Amino acid sequence: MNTSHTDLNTAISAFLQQQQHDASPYQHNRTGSRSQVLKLIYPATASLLGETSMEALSQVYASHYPSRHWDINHYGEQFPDLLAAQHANAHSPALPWQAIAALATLEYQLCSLYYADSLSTQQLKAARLEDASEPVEVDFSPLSESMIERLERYHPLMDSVAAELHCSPVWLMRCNFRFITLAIPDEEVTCRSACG
Amino acid sequence: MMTFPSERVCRGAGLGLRIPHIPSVLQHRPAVDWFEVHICNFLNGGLNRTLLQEVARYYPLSFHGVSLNLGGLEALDTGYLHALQQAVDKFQPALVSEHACLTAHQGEHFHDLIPVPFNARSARHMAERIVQVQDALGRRILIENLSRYARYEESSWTEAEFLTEVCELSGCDLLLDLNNAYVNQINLGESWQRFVEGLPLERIREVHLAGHSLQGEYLIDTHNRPVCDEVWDVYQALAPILNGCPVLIEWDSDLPDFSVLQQHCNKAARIHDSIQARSAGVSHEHIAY
Repeated sequence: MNTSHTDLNTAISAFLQQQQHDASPYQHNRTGSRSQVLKLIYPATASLLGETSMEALSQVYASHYPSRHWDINHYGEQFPDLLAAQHANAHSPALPWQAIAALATLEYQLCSLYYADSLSTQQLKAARLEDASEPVEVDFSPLSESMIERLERYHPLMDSVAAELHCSPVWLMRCNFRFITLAIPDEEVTCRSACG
Repeated sequence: MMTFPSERVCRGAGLGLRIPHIPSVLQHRPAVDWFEVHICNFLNGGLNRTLLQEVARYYPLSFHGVSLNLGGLEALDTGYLHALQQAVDKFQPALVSEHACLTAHQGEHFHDLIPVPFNARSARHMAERIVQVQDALGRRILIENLSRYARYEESSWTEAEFLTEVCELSGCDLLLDLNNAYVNQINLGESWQRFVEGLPLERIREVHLAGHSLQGEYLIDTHNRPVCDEVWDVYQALAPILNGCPVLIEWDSDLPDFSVLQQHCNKAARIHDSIQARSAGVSHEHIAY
């Protein structure tokens, strides 16, 4: 920081300090925007947890993890770890926390499909072609059918992209993330033959 | 090669386009004059970017940013600026705007719009950064007034005086958010009328209308509700002096069906167009005739 900014720095730091109390809209917005984005990044997870649990967990995460990147879509990468840790938390409801954490991990990766700079439609097409020529092994063992249905329901953008690529959304997610599985659902087999 | 609408100017009434509505917009291509996007969500090369390319084929675009941190003290994020520059070069949006605020401090990003002190020192600082941005983009940007919930002791100017000075020093233009002006009147007792009167009207290139919520003692700029009657009245009152400025409906969270947004956009268009027709010396009856 430029030393000539000392006066501005003092003013801004003092202002922010003054706003660090529960009644301040700035404090409310600060944690509120973080917990809100967790619900946007992890909608299927949120639907499984229910509103109360998701709100409580996202508030905990938001108050302990400040954002270090301008792009809020990158926020929340460690949220699945917090979910997995609930397994050992005596106060948490009895839920399949490891599976929920696996679902959340997948959702975060899915979110990066929307925003990541390392992925383009061309690359997705390439991934599809490459996978079509090889047996695809997908491991859905941590995820129940209901979880996969939620992924489809809560990530509708995949439908647009899938339509462009002539694949089903779930198939696209599977081949892009290259999960290892024991069984390929019928839907995917159909899609693969349609995609050639 | 990408093709764009033959006219890339934002005229009339536009809508803030949010990601959940993109598939529907691409499928139905609703009659909306133009769309504004939160460009931070499209700066990288992910699927969103692909979808935005499709939208740009059919609609003029305005890019609205929330992360440039124009009032911040750390150096401008060159990665962000470079990505923005590439997006602007590629899409050639009709307008590019940001907020007159800081969004990060001492390494933390707030994802909220924090005001800066309104004084000469702060105005000079922000103007220098805007010049850097404009040089990088090769074009003028618009800066937007904020909703505020507290004041700086260090502010010796009004918000209008501050924005006017920033515009003078940097050559940037203004995005006038009427909901923000109204919210400030309720929260801080700063008259929206006096605020607008203090602005260089010739620099206003876009108007925002949005909804707010009451939380405790404050009106919060939540963009999750319809524009309130009072803000519609403010727009109605100001439209004649805004020289046909394009107007935008912003609705960011608790999104309703797209058709609801379109109804609000149509209302803004009716006000905008009636004022335009009147100022051209032609009444609606004459047009109908």
